[in-house]
Amino acid sequence: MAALPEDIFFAGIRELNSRLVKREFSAVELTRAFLDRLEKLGPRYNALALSLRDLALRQARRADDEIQRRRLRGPLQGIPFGAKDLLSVAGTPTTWGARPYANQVLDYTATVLRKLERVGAVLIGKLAMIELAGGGGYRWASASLQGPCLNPWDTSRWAGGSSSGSGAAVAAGLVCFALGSETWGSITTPAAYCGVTGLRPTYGLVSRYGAMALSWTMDKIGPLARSAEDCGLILQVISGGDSMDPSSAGKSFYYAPQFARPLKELRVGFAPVDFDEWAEPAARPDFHKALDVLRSLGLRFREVRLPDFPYSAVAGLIIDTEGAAAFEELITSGKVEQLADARQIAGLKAGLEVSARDYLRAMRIRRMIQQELRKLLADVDILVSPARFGPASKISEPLDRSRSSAPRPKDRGLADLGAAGNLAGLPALILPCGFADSLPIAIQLVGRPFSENTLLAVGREFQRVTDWHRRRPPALPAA
Amino acid sequence: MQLTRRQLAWLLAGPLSARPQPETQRESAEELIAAARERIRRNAEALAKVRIPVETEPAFQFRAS
Repeated sequence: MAALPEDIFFAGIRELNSRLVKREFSAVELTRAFLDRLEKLGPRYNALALSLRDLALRQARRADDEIQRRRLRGPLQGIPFGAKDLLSVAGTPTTWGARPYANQVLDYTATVLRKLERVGAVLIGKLAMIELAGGGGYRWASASLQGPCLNPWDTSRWAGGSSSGSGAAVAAGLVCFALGSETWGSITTPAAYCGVTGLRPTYGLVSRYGAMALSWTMDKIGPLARSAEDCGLILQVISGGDSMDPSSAGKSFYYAPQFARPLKELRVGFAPVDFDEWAEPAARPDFHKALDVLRSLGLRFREVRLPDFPYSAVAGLIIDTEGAAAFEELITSGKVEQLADARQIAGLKAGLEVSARDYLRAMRIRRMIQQELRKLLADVDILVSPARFGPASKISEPLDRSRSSAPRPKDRGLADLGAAGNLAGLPALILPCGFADSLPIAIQLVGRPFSENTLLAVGREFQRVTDWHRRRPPALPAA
Repeated sequence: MQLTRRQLAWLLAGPLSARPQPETQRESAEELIAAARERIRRNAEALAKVRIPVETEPAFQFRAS
C-alpha cells in the first residue's frame, strides 16, 4: 500500500475510525505509519520516552481482525495514541521521566490503558514528561530524562509541562491523541503552548491506578487531543469507578453534548482584567476575539472575580508535602541527587520538613476554597480565562523568569483560576484560540464538578466556528 | 534528500543545541535548600493569615470499608 497521506496524521478520531471501518486502510497500516513518524520525529522534539512497536502492532492486528468481523467497539478502535510515561504498562519500562527510575519495570498496567485497550485503541508509545511530574518545583525545561521537550511550533520554545511529550506529540501529528496528567497545570500548559485541545477531568472521575502519584489529593489523568469532540470520546472510555483507586468518585461519563443545556441559557463568568492586563500584550487581540466568539454563540457574560485566598500558597504547600511523602524513599536514599533539576532536588528535600500543622491548615483552607467556588459557580455555569497569559517560554530561559516588566495588576480577577480549579477538583477544557508571536495561545473553560458535557458542548461549538484547533505547525519535516 | 533552508535550520536547532546551561549549577546545594525552605516558609506564612472557622474540616476524606 502507498504511504498514507500527511492529512491522516492530523485527522480526528471519528474520521480515522470511519476510514478504518470502510477499510480504506487497515489498523496495522495506520499504526505503522504513526509508529514510523513517532520514532523518527519524536526524538527530535525530545517527546518520545519509549516506542511500543511490538505491543502496538499486536493491538492493531486485533483491531483489524475485529473490524473485519464487524465486531465494532466504538470510535477509538484502531486509533494510535500515546501515554505520558507516568502510566504503567506491565513488563515495559516506566521511567516517570526521571533518571532514578530509568530502568523501572512495573508488573501492572494502568486502568486507563486497560480501558483503552478494551475498546481497541492502539498504544504506540510512552511520551516524555518532566521528571516526577515536576514534584519539588523545577526551574528548567530540561528537567526531564529526555531533555527539554521542544515545541513543534518553534523548537527554540518549550512544549510546556509536565505532560510535555503528550502536547508535542499531538501537535506534531505523532499520535492521534495522548493521555497526560495534571496536578497543577500539567495538561493545561502543554495543551495551551502546543495548540492542542486538553481536558482536565473532575478529580476522581478517571482512575489513577497505575499512574505515578505526585499528590494523592490533586492528581488527575486526562486527554490531549485534536478537538473537544475527541476529548469527549476519550473521556467516555477512560472515566468510571475503580476499586483500585481510593480517590475514585465511582461515576461514569457519557459523552452527550447534544443533551447539554442550550448555550443561550449558559452564564459565563469572566474578569476583564485577565484579558486586558494579566494577558501579555501580544496575546490580548486573539483572547478578545475568543471572547467575542463565545458571545456570538449566545453565552451570557457576567463579570466575576475569585474570592480572596492565597491559592498558589495553598496548592504549593499541599503538593510539596504530598510529593515529598510520595518520594520519601527516593529522597532519603540519596537517589534524588540523580534528578536533572537542582532546584527540584532541593524542593523535594525541603518538602519533607513541612509540619503537619501547616499541611492541615492548607487542607482546611482548601475546604473553604471549595465552598466559595461552589457559591461562585452557583451564579455562573462556566468560568473563562486565558489558559496561560502568553505563549510558550524559551527553552533557554528559566521558567520562573518574569516575561513582563509591567507591574502586576492590582485586581486578581481569575488569574489564580489554575490553582483554584485544581484545589477544588474542577474540570477544565483548554481550547486553542489564536496566536501571539506566531505561537499558539488558548483559553480555559472551568465548570462545576462533573460538568464535562457542558464544557465540551461549548468547546465543540467554539471549534465549529473557529479553526485554531486545526492549525498545524508550519515547519514540520516529512517523516 | 534535498532540504529546504527551513528544514536545515530545524535540524541544526536540535535537542543538544537547545539544551540550556542551567544557572542553578552555580548555586550550591545548601543555597538551593535554603531557598526551598524559604519558599515553603512564605507559603505557610500566607496560610497563617487566613482565618479558619473552627468547624472547617480538612479537604480529604476517609471512608471505612
